[in-house]
Amino acid sequence: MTTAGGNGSGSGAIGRRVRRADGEPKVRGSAIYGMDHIEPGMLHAAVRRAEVPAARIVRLDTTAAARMPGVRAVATAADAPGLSGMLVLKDQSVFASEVIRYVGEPIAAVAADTPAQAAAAAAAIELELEPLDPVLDLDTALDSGTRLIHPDWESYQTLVPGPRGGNLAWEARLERGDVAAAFASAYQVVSDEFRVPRQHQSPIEPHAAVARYDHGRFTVHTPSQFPYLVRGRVAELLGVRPSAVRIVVPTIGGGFGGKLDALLEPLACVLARKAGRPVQVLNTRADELRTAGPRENAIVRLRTAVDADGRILAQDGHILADNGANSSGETVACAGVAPLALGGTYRIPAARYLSQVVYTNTPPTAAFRGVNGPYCIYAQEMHMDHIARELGIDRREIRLRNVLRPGQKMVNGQVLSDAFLVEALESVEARAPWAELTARSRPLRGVAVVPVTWITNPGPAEASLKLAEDGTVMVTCAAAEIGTGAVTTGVRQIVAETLSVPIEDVLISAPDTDAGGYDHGAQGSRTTYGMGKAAGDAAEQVRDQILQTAADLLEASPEDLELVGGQVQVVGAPDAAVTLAAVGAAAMWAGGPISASGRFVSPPVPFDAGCMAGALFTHFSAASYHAHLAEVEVDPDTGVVTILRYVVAQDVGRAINPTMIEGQVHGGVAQGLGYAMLENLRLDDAGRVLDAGLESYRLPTALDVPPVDLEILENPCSSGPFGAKGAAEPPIVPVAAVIACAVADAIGRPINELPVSPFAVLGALRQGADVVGAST
Amino acid sequence: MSIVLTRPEVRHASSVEEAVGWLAELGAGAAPLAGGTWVMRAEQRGEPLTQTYVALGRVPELRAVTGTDPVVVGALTTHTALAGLAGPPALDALRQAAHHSAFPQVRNVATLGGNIGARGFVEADLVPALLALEARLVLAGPDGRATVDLTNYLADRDARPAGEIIVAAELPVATTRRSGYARLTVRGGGEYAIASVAISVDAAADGTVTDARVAVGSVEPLARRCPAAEAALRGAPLSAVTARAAGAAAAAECSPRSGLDAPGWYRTAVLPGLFERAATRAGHDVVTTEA
Amino acid sequence: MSYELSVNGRRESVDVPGMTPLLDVLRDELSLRGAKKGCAEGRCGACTVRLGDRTVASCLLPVAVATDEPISTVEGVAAPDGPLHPVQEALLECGGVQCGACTPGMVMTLCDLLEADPDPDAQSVRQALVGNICRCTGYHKIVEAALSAAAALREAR
Repeated sequence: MTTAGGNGSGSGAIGRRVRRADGEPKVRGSAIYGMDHIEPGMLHAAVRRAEVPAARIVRLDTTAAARMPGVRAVATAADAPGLSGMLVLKDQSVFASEVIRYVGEPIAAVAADTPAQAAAAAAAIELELEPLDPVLDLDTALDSGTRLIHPDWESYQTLVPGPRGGNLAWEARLERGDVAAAFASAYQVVSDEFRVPRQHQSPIEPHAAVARYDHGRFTVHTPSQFPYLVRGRVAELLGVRPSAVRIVVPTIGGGFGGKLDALLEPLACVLARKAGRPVQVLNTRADELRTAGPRENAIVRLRTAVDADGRILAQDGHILADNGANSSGETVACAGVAPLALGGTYRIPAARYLSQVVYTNTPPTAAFRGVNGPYCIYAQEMHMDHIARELGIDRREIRLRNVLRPGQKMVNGQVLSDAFLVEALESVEARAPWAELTARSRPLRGVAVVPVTWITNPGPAEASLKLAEDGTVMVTCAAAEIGTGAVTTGVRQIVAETLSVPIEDVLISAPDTDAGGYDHGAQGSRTTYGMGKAAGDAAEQVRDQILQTAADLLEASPEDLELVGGQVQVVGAPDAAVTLAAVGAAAMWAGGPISASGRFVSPPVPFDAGCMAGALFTHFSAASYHAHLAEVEVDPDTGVVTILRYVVAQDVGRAINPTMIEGQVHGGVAQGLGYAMLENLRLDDAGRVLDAGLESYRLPTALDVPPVDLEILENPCSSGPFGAKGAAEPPIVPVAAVIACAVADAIGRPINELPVSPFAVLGALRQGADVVGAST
Repeated sequence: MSIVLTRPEVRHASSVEEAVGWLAELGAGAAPLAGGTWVMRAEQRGEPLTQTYVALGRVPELRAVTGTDPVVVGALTTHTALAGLAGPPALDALRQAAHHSAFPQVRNVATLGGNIGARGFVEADLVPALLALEARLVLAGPDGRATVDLTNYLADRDARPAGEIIVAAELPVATTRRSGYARLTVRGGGEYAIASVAISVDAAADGTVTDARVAVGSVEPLARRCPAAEAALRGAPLSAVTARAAGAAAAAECSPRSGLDAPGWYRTAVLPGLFERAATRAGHDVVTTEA
Repeated sequence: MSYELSVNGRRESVDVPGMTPLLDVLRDELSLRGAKKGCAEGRCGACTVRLGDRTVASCLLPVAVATDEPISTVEGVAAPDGPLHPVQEALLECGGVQCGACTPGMVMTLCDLLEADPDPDAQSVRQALVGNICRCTGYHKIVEAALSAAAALREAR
């Protein structure tokens, strides 16, 4: 299968549809997932969780529970006093100590011989509460006079300084250009407000963790997307140093952002230390939906000044995002992404964005693929349609007039020298001509097209490579394979190409923080990009060592050698060759075993640093450019929306493995469609998650996803391996926008709230409502 | 909060009489078990399990399908089997309801009797179809067997005597009779119906509907017949127009429930469209409004 | 209570209460962890196994009613040291596997479908899959794999 490249030009691994290395165990059912991992002597845990959103704990008595059959340990806040948070703001403890801040917050946990014994003991823990006035509404949480959810907010440590105070957990600001002047001189000013609900990641595998404690160190098996983050967070929460925690990652049954941060691991560690036995903590589906942090609900308010041609002069944006009760998820860390999302696709010469993350007495929110992109782009695009309507400009045309072109600046002053948005729009146009679609548009049919720029997470990576005595190459790293194929195909293909070895000869170890160097997690589409580059760097060093050793064996100069199909040969004299196995063996007693470490961090990107405050993400690294088009039809009897056509153009830099990229696009579109039309993790007026099962929390089925007409665009990225950039997040980002805009077109009314459910659509059609959802 | 430390046990009955005897003897401590798909989710619904379940799967009589008019369908017939039930067009609504219910893994085990007898199962697909088909239930209890109208059974379903089980449903199948079923879901399938409609009509040679039976499921807490809708269908050939009028009549006579799956107003708002779909499936001579 | 089961052609004996879900018996008693407990409420299909000639959601099936017919799980689809079944092969070749947590259920549903219907069209594959949730792939490559496996199976016949 493998074709040999000439002159060391690789094994032809790049661009090939190679199979995933973890595929056979997955189809045979023999892969061990986090939920499948068990250990000898393992105990089972149950967590006693809060049933009210806000209360003072008056009395907590575990005496009776501790004496129940099979119980080996009962843990409470006294066992884990540390405060931590996802990177930025340290306001979270493992257990509620004095105050309960959300329904589902852990108060105590029990480890017992059987799950039933643990559950019985957890239920027997005696608890006396004094209710507090819950703060549940995002709109009013910041009002003066509202009870403070964290009265001690000032005492919390932060990674960087940032504006915050009271129920305002965090704020990111961007201000650039003369906004006031632009609004004063505008031909027209258009305003909108949009509301979006929580969306739950809902991987098929719930969270699971098994911890054991030996001689001062914890070993945790957990299906984590970001093992080094979990290591650090567990250490901080338990008050031990990070190197006292070892994270080992079994097969991961889906993450989508939901398995980035620590969730069950600290509970498992506390119990394992107390019980002196391995302890498993395993979520039910209801636990998942109730307590594993979803994408945040948010309100986006946009006010835009435009000239008579529809060109944006300035934009004023306010994003209110729900943090939930603490900052254990990424919502605070991603506050700065919202301005970039709003200002990364169109030229916005002057802008003022205020991105506020607000405490409420609700379950903490967290990262979900694309973080705040899907709702910011939805808001921006529906707003764009509003502007087009006001000015009587065609909706595609207004986008072409404003879209960023090569050399123009994003809202943060970053120059997009490789902008490819027009090309992406043209790719879609070639397959789905706008004029044709809009000409044949008829009542209850609608169409929309959306361009979007997106980020590749710039985080660091380290990989080590060693050449084995049989000529195979082992890559050791802590990058987690969450299903994308980035590790089990992408990284391997990059190494195979660099060393000109068959892909089958590149093996990769399971993530283990004791063995693999730092990796910034399977997030923000970064694994092929960041870990691919680190592994490629290591492979280049290994190649040099191989050529040096082979040069001695072949009595030739390294410059005259080439790597071809798993052997080293003299250029022009292929009979003078030595296998990699022989090279590996020879090196052992010559220069020593062949091995190298490679590393990577995304290079700095110039931008206008003075325009932002409180932002952890300040720019778009390895930016990628895309366009989506949807044509929909609405059933006037039921409000049910059918997607007739879905077209995608996606810039991936360089397609390392087209099959895996297609899979990311299909899956991203499906999740985006869920967000647009089906998924809505609702809370009741007592802060309880209503959708605690997959009956009412509707995940898309095989009958809900439209065929995706995809063109992969290659617009190489100078910092990525072989030009590759992130591919996994972008396909979810514009989906809600393009579907909502198409439905709005079909029903002749703007849609200011997600999801675009049949109830919302039929309600608008029947009641003659001007707007679906909230309006200004 | 009480926690069940061990799961209940199961006894296998070999005859209807044995099952009835055990259930009567154990009273509130026991319940019948068919496919299990409803009972096995009791904990998720916050309902207690009983101590013992009496499995009916080894009672051959309960799996039998006999007769030609009425067709007598054993209570343990699965949805998959019902979807392929032999018989005249009068049975179409039942076949369609069974075929579109849930998804294969559930249809393969969930039974006719379970669908009817499951307390609190608002969205049951077979029940409206059976109501429109004028099904009668053969019941067995400590005092012997009895046949009752499904309507009457449902009226006091939650207060039936201990020891009673559903043995079979009797389905009349007049040759002039046509029936059809439609259900609405938010997704393409694989979930409970937000609203469902079964229409069964008798027609004269010229197509004029002489009699009609209409039932609506999932809209109210219990599936029900809709007399005003039935009246709206009589006296004219079945058409999209008469079906929609009947749907509007049904909407007016139902008091819809609100749920996590849908707001109440929506369930009745969609009835005219659903009636048209059900009518379309009830015969080939229906004029539809579809382009 | 003691129950005798036939699982992947082997006779197995387990001692559990009769209302124990078959899924728990497979995973915890028989160490067959291929079937996944995705939801335990019959909504995701990751626990799909076959009972006799039909697929069932093993999380909803009491073990007491699973004794009369042979049970087959994903571990029984191909011998552990043997070649993959065409359905498994096609899922890998077409990219129908990402995280893979739904895959054991998908394999069982597709094997069942292709036995009943050797030449399905894409829409009937989708209908058959409606009880199997996949959160990763958007389903297209799974459907493609089903059609490809169907062709391979027809050819081998």
